Amino acid sequence: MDRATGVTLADGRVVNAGLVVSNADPKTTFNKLVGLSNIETGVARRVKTLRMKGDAAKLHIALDSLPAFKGLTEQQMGQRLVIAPSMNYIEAAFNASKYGEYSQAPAMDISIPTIHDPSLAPDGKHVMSVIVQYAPYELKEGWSDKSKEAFKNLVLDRIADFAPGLRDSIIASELLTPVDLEERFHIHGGHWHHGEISLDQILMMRPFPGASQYGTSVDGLYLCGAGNHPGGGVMGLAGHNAAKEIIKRGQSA
Amino acid sequence: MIPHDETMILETPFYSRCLAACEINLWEDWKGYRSAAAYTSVEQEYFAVRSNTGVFDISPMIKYRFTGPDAEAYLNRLVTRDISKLGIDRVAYTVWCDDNGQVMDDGTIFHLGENDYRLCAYARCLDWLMWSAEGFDVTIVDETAEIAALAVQGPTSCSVFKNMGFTGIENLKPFGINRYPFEGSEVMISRTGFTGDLGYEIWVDPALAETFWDRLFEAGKLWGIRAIGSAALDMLRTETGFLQAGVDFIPAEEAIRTGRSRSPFELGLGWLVSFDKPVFNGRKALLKEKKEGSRYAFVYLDVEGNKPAEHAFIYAGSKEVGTVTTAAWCPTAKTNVAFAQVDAQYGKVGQELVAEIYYERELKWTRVMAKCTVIEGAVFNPPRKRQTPAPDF
Repeated sequence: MDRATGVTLADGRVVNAGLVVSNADPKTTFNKLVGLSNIETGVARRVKTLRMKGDAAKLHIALDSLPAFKGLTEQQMGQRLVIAPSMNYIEAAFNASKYGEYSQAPAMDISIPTIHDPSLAPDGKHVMSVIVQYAPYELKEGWSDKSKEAFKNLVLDRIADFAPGLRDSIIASELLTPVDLEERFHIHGGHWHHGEISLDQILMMRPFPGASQYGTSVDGLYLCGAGNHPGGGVMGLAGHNAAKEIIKRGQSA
Repeated sequence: MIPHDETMILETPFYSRCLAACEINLWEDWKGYRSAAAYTSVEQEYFAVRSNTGVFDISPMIKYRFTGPDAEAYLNRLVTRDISKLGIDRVAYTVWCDDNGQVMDDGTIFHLGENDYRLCAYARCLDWLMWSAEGFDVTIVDETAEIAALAVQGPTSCSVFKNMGFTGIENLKPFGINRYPFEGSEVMISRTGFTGDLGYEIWVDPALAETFWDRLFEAGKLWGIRAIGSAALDMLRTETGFLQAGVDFIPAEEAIRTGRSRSPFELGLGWLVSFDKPVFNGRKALLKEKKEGSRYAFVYLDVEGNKPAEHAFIYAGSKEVGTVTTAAWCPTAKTNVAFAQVDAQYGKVGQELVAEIYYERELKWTRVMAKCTVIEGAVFNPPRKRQTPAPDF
C-alpha cells in the first residue's frame, strides 16, 4: 500500500505496472494521478506552492506563401526570430501580466519550421509558430473569443511591423492562451514549461525539493517531464535522466 | 474569533471566578491567556486532586473542529493512530508528525458525531492543518475561544458531578463522552484528564461558564473542591507519567536545530503509531526508523534520594548518555521521578543509571551523583482511574 502499482485510465481500465513514470506536469501528477490525500502533508504543501500559472500564449499561423521579414534572407528567417528590442521592452511587456492584462507590445519568439522541413505544409505553403509573452493565465477580463481575437490581432499587427505582407498571406490562425493549453494538453495552469523557471524552482530544486532526482516520495513513481531538470524545454533529457535514475536504483517495470 | 487585536493577554470565560479564587495572584501566560500558576499553595492544590477534587481551567487549550465528508479520512492521514477505530463519543490520545516522522504535537481527538471531530492541541497549528486539508473535503475551525472547558479531577470528582445532578456519570467509561442538559443548553463531559486520577473534563458554552463554575463549587463544597494552577498540574502529570509538549519534546515545527526533534518511538509513544492504515504523515520515515532503529529512548527513572533531578545529565558508568526533561518528587507515590532522553541502547527497564544532580541551599551548591533505576512508567496509577462505575468517595 506504500507504492505506485499502476495507472487507472479515464475509461476505468487499470494498467498494472511495477513502476509509473509520469511526464505529466508535477501538479497534475500529484493532484490528479496520485491525489494529494494519498501523500504526506509536507509533499502536498510543496506541490501546492509550486508556481505554474502560464504567462505565454502560442500563435499558430498557416501561410499561403513565405512572408518577407524586412532585412532578413530566407536562410536567416529559418532561425529563431526574437522580437525583444530591449530589456525595458520585456519589462514593460511583463508588467501588464502582473495586473492580469496581456502585453500591448509583447515579446515574441517566432519560428517558420517549413523553411527547413517543407513536408509540414502543402507545396509552397508555410506555417509559423509564435510564442507570445505575456498572456496571463488569469486574465482580468477573462479569456473569451473576444479577448482572444483582440490579443491575436494585436500580435499579428506587431509581427506585421516587421513582416508587412503577413496578413495578406494568412490562410488560418489560432491563438492558444494558457487556459487553452491547460484544457487541450492537461497542463496545470497552462504553463508552457510545466512550472516557472525561477531560482527556487530550478536545478536541484526542480520541480521541488524531494522530487528533483526524478524519484518521488511515492515509491515506484517517477517524474520525467519538462517540470524536471533540465526542463522547461522538451528535449528529452529529463526522461533520459529519469531512466538513468531508475536503472541506478535497480528498479524495473 | 479570538480578539487578539483588542488586548495583549486574553481572559478565559472563567476569569472572573479564577481571579476571585486566586489568593496569591500568581499568573502566567498560556498561549495568550492569563492562567493561574497557583491559587493558594501548590501542595494544597496538588493534594486536592489526589484526595478530593481539583479544578483546572483548560479553556486556553487550542481546540480545532473538523467536519465534512472527509473529516475522518483527513484526521487519519494527519495523526499516527488509526482514527477509523475511534467510536462516536470516544476520545483518543495521539501524536501527529511531519513527513520526517518527527512529533509536531500531542493531544486528544474527540469523536463528537459522524465525521465530526475536535482536536485539542498544545500548539496552534492551523497552517499545518490547512495544508493537510489539500485534497480533502473537510472544514476546519479554530474553536479555542468558542468553548469554555474545565478539568475536574480527583477521587471525589464523580461524587461532585452526581451532586450537581449529572445522573449516571459514574457509568461513563475512561475516554468516553456524555452530554447533560444545563441551563437550557448542554454541557459535554468527557472522562479524560492530565492527572492520572479519576477525573473529567467539561466543555460548555462560554456564556454559561461562570454559572457552571458557581454550581460546581457549590456542589463540591463537602467534597473538598479547590481550584488548582499549572504548578500543581505539573506535579500531577509527572507522577502519572504524562509528557508535556515543549518540555519533554520540542514540537518539530518549533525546533530550529537539526536533530532536536523526536519521533514517537523516541518518546516511548510507539504504541500510538498504527502501521495498519495507509498513508499518514511520517509513515514512511517511521517505517524506516522501526527497521533501522531509533536515535534515542525515552525513559522513566526512579531516582535515589529526594532531590529532584531537574536538568540532570544521565550517565551509564562514566559515559554521559542523556539528560532529564522533567523531574519531581511525587508526594503520593513517594518517589523521586525523572523523565529522561537517553541514547537508544540505554534505558531497558531495570537498568541502573546515574543522575548528576545539582541543587542549591542558601547559595551553597551541592552535586549529587544519584543512582537511578529505569522503571516501566507511571509511579501513580490507581485503580479508580479505570474503574467503571467510578467509585463513590
